[in-house]
Amino acid sequence: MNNRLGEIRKERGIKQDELAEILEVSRQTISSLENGKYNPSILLAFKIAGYFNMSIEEIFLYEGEENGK
Amino acid sequence: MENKVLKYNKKKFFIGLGGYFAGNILFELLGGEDVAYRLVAGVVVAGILWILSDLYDFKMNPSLKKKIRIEDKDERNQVIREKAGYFTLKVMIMTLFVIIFIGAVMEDVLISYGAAVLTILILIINWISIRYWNKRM
Repeated sequence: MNNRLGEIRKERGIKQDELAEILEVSRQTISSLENGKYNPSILLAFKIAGYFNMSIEEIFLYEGEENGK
Repeated sequence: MENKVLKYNKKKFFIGLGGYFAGNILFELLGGEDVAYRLVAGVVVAGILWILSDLYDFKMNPSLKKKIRIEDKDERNQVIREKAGYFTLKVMIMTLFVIIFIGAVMEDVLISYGAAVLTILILIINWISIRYWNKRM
C-alpha cells in the first residue's frame, strides 16, 4: 500500500517526531509508514486522516493484493 | 524521542548487570557461601538499583515515562514483538527437540525428560494463550 504521508507532512511543515508525538506513536513508525515498509492499523489510519483533516483514501492508496509486511 | 528511551534501556541493562555482579561480590565479602543465596543477592541488588535509577530518571526527566509508554504501546513495536515472539517460539521448540535427541543418543534420561517436559509446558502455555486471545478477539 502506497501513501502520501511524507508528502502531506512536509507540506504542513511538521517534523516526523512532532507528528509521532501528536499521534502517540514512535518516530520509527512514522518513518516506516512514509517509506511504505509498514501498513498502519485502521485506528492509526483514522488518527492520521483525522489529524490532517483528510479522508483515509486521500492519504493511503490501496493498489490491490500484496504480501503482508 | 527514541534516543532517550534507547539510552534509558541501555542504562537499565548495564545497571542490572552491574547490580547483579555487585550483589554477588557483596555477598562474597559478607562471607556468604551458598550459591543460590548469592544469585538471589545479585538479583536483589540489581532490582534495588533499577528502582533507584528509575526514581532518579523520572524525577530528572518527567516526560520520559510518557515516552516509554508510547514506545511500549506503539503498534509497529507490538507487531515486531509478536513476530519476534513467534520466531523465538519456533526456534525454542526446534532447539528442545534437538536437545531431546542428543539426550537420547547420550542415553542421558535427565536431559531428554527435562527437555521433553519443557517442550510440553511451552506448547501448553502457547495453546492456552492462543485460546485466550481467540476468545478475546
